[in-house]
Amino acid sequence: MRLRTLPSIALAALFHTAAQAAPLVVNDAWVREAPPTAQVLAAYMQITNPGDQARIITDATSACCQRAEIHRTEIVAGMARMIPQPELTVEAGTTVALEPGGLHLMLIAPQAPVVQGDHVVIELRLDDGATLEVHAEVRRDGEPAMDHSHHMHH
Amino acid sequence: MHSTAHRQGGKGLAVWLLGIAALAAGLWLALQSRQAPPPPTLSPGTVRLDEPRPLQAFDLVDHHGQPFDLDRLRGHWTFLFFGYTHCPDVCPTTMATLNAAARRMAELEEPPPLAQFAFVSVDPERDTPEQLSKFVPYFNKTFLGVTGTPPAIDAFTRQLGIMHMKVDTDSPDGYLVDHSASVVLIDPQARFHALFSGPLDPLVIARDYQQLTHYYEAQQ
Repeated sequence: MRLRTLPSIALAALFHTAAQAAPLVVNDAWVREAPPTAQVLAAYMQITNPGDQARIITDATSACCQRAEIHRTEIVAGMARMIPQPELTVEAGTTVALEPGGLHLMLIAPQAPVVQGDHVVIELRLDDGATLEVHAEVRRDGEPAMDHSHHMHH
Repeated sequence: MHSTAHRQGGKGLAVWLLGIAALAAGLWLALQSRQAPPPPTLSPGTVRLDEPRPLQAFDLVDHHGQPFDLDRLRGHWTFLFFGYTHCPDVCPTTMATLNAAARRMAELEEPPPLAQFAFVSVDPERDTPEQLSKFVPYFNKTFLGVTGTPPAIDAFTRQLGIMHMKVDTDSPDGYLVDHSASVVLIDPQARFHALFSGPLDPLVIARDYQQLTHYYEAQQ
């Protein structure tokens, strides 16, 4: 028993030290449903970097829309400003939250209206050339669709 | 048997006395509050003007194409909030927050008077009444979209202390508009009555609105 576990611990340690930039993990990605004529949409998500090296997102694209930009909303002295971000760094072992009133992806000029329950595919590009495909659910008012249907049953 | 009955009688008397005392206390409290209504206790983000400021005449238009002027602010409370339709994050968030606040108000015990909600564009060049008609009612059918000529919007926002400025970006689609994230409350006499500053919370807005309107009514 002992003899068997020892090598596996050694192996794990080896992997750990050798660990390089681990793939980013995206959770709870959603796009806010907007009026059909909306010229801009916002996408939100939690981006976690489980690795031990910072990862840098430099660009985002989506088939839904002409362009995508990384923006941050800032409210300073009562003024709301949207500040384009040239890149987004996810430090090792941390999670960056893209959420209403803060960091978000601005999806510009949608080809067609998106409605609750749709999925929007967004591709994040990293500075080392890696890409990450994110499936974002379209939600109204930020309520998850599942919760919504749950309410409907009552 | 006898002593039990006696004890019950004593208990009954105590209950009666307690009831009378509670009634007296209630009556006293009611009288107190009638004499001097307690000033509203508001959340830190809400400011009530000690002397509400009457608004000057203005000339705007709503998303139905109807004139939106001083008369449209008389006889009822109005929430004014500011933004533009090419704003993906903070404006829809504010809109959803106020929609939730309106729902919360109706759910309160002793609900406050029904208020009018108007989204005032700080991007009048792109936000025509037609553009607003496709944006504002989506969030709430009773909300109004308001726009006007750029000078008219400037004149209106200036008297409310609401700032806005165009910011050019590298984007081919033009510009962003930085703007005040605050919500203005106008009283039924068309006066600037209170200001709600972010972060906006539906329940906080609903409760503070209830406090403000009760205090206002008690003073009339």
